Amino acid sequence: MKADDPLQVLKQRPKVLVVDDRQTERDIMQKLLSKLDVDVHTADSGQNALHQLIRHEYTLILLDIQMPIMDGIETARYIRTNPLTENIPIIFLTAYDKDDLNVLQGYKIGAIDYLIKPINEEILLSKVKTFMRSNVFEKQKEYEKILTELRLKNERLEKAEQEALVRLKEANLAKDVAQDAQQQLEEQKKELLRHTQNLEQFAYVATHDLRAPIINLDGMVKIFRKRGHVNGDNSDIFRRIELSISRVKNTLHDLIEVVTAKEAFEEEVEKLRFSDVFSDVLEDLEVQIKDSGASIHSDFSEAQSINYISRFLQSIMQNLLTNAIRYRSPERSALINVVTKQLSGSVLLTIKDNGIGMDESQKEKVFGLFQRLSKDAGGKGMGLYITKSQVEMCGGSIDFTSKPGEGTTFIIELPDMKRESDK
Amino acid sequence: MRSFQDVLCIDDDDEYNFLTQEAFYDYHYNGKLTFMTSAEEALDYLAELETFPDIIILDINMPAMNGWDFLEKYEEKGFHKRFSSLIFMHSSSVFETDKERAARFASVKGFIDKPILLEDLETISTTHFG
Repeated sequence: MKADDPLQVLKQRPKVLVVDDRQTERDIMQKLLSKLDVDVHTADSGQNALHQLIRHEYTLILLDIQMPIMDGIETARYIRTNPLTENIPIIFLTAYDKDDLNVLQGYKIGAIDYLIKPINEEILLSKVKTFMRSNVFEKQKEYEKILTELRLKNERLEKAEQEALVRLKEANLAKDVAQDAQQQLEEQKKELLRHTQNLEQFAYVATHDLRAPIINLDGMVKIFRKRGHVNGDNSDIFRRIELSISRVKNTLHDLIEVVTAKEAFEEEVEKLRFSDVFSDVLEDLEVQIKDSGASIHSDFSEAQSINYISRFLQSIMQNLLTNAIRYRSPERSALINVVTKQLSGSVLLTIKDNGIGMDESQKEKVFGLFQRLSKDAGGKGMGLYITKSQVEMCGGSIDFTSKPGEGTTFIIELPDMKRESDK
Repeated sequence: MRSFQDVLCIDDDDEYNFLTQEAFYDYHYNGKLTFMTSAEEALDYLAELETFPDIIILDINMPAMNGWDFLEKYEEKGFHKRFSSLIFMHSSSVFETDKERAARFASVKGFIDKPILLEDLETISTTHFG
């Protein structure tokens, strides 16, 4: 049991200390006081009294004034100077009832009462009882106070505990909700992935299944013309049939590019000379370039080659060049400049035109799928989407600056895709 | 005298076969040109032959038995050891993975993108029969 347990101290019987240098006096006092419900301790000198006071907590001290060496007054003074004992009531015991000086001195140091020897039993017990009662009352009050405090503390603890429980429940609930949400999210993710895969599968099948009959149609029409069946009356409608087929063919070609832009193989990477790829592109666009009267200049002297995927580089250049021609200004002849610049680990490809330009705020749209900014230029809205996919697929980036009415400059950073094994 | 005189085309698409025929016509081909519209039919046909065609043009995408299945059976039957027909894979969309796959078959000599044109036949002639 802990000594500093306040309740334990309170439950003990009150202790009374009797200080007198004479054995007989002490015995008498002990005998008289034994009638009360108290523990009586005795000390035969002031010094011993002070010793006892260190070890025990006393409710009352009965102190003889006339003692050798250290008298009662001096003892009382010491008692009063110690903060632990200063409030213990003292009843002085004195043999001379006319000893006014002693009594006064006694009161000066804060004594509460005094008794004249020889001790009258009734008066002694009555006075001691009064002190005990007041002490018990004090103690009771203190006890209750402590009990109240304890009760309050307990209540607070209980409340805190309940709050903690509530919080815990809330936390658990939140956790459950979060887990549910997480699970739902995972399921949605899976669902989305399934949808995407289905869509990709669909696009793949649709484009490839469409391709075969279109190739047939295109071939048949060519044979028809070759055999000389196109003449006078039907030449106009036949030309329209050919145009329509050519449009379907081109759209399908682009759709397949969109579908396959997500597939790139390391084995496809090879060292490409910009001038070679570019002249292939110019050859493919020969008719368009001639019809538009565009003049195209290129300068690949700074960065002459790059390790890249041929079909991608060709497609990137072709798409951007086609756009530069398609969106040329009606007010001036088209001027297109294609330049490469060597960066560390990549090449900057710049394609600058003096065309109609576009609003830079439309950037999102420009690179979106099936987005066209102008309805009369004949685009299908896939070109830049494909280009962006092909650039980003290989870790590059594409951007442009443009001013309506002045022209557009596309800037593409192509990383040199040197194979790991070649490094 | 043209370099190849016996050609087998395996393709389920009749309309397309018409275009192939036209390409050979443009090439002024006057040898034997046979069409089979399924891989199974083609295998049966080959099994009966004393001498194999100079060239087999094989479509990849066919229902039931496709071009790859045909190649497996072709080797299973040991045709590739007995005869030296040159096989050309034919498709409207050739993928890198297809090329890797084809490398496993020694008889496969190349790919031809659809539609087959006069130029393709000239290239085959100069490359393999020059």
